[in-house]
Amino acid sequence: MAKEKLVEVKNLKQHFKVGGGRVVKAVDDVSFDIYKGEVFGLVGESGSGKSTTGRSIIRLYDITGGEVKFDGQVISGKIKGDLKRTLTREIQMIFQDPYACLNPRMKVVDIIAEGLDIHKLAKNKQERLEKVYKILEIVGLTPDHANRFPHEFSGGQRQRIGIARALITQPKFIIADEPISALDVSIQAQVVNLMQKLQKEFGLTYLFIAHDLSMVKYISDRVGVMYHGKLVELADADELYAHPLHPYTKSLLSAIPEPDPIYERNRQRIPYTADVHDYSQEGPEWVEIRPGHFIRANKAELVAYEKQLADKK
Amino acid sequence: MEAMKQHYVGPNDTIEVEESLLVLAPMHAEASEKIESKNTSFWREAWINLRKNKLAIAGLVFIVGIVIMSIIGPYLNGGADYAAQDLANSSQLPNGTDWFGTDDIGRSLWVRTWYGARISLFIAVTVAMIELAIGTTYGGISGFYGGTLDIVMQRISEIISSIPSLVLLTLLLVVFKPSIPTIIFAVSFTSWVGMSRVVRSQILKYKEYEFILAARTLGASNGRLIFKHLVPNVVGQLIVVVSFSIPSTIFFESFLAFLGLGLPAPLPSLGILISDGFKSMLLYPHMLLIPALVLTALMISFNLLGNGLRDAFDPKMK
Repeated sequence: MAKEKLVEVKNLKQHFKVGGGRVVKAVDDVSFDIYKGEVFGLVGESGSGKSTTGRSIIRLYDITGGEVKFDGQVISGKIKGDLKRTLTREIQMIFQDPYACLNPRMKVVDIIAEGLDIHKLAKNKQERLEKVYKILEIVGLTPDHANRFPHEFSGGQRQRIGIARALITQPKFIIADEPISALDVSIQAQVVNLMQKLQKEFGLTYLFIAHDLSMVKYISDRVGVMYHGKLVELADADELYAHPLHPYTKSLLSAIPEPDPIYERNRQRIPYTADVHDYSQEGPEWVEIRPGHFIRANKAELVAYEKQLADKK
Repeated sequence: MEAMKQHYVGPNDTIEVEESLLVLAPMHAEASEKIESKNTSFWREAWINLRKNKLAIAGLVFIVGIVIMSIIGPYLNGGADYAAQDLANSSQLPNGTDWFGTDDIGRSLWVRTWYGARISLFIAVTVAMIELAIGTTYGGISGFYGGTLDIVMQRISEIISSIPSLVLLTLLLVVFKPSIPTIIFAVSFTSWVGMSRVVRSQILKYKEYEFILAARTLGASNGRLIFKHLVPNVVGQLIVVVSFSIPSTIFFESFLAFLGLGLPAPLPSLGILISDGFKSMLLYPHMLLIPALVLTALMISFNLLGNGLRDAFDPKMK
């Protein structure tokens, strides 16, 4: 593949001590690459560790094990101050809750310009203001919104302010942590379209974390499926939706609602429990079953999956 | 009831619609983004909310009135000397020359009441400022850095707050002479713990908010996080705590005076005046009633204002 890797995640582990000697393995041995200019979707149920993965990449948490590389450089663990400053400019995050992600005591202009202020990217007040106005326009807001406070905006508008804040440092890579799950359906489309437009205009790479599978299929080039802190399947979006192999992926796909009453009435949901795997003899491994299609399985399961793929074709 | 039956359109019904009646509504992207409401800042909104609360405003008016009187009051009725005695005119009822009457050694109660209010307020406000300074720093550090530091700091503050302030104060007043600074020191020694707990809990709450994470991902320093993001969000709560701390300090000071642990004579405070007036309550009830009324008005006003402020800053807590 000629595509260039932007982010490489290798055996990422993020364990939290929860007291009483118990450890929660929020992310356990997860590996994947994100190529330049693509949208990498990460799906899974609540608590599957997808948000934690995103936050570990952007260094909000100190990782327990593994390694993260960005643009060929190791960015996990202890790194130099210079690199830290570069990273806080080049990797940005869009958050889930449009109500909690903006400081209620700051004006929109100061919220958006925070990146400029921290990295001293504006020479003077005039330039700072101009940059904020320009970015406001890009996300579809107007300059007279700059002097208002967050509580005066709707959820969709707030989310766009959050996007503007992330964009102002001209990042290469944006981690979108369920950016649309708190929004009204009509507004979801608006925000996703904006994100796609920005991706084309600025050549951005996204890690798109979500649990809405139809939206993930719409926006993503490749999709990874997480379950209980582990990546269970990873493939091109079309491949994954056409030939899901892992029973958990199948179960997830069977839950996508269709705007068709007759289909919905006869929907067959596929339940999933971890009991379907028999890992007593042999533990599962992360295997590339087809070029670009990865799955977590042991040898016995692999044989069965191979057969499924062959039958379909 | 047959006439009441309504007609529902089921999934199998078809409805005839005249095509020509269907017109696309005009849509203006600009207009749909426009915000018509006035630009309101946090402080303006709090003030608007507070103004709606009649009791709180009444409290505010009373407080301002008493504060003004405690500043200019002593100069309005003759001399401003709270210690000047006029034994020939002792124990007078309120009259034309001495508006609040005189006490048992002929000191003007008008002068002494307002001067006493001044001292009581001074002690209370100073204690509140000390609480604010120590409590905010201590609670802020404890909550922001968390972990082991937080555990150690919380145990220390628990130990401090478990010392009964009355015992501490009695000991202090045995060692040092009773004076305004001693009382301020003794009261604020334990009372900042309450403030630090409020600040800590607020910081703990806001620390996990996504806007803090967003600032972190932008590379904000700890100083920036604390002063630009956390403190402005806690200020409302702090004002509320202060507005409740002031009356409780005034009350505590009065209580001490009543026990005989108050300021040395001839310094007046509301508590001392009440305690003096209590001695001749049956013969000259005005000596007790007047300072007691001022004290009561002050306490109720601060509590009403405090309640109003709490609702104004956080309407959800109502």
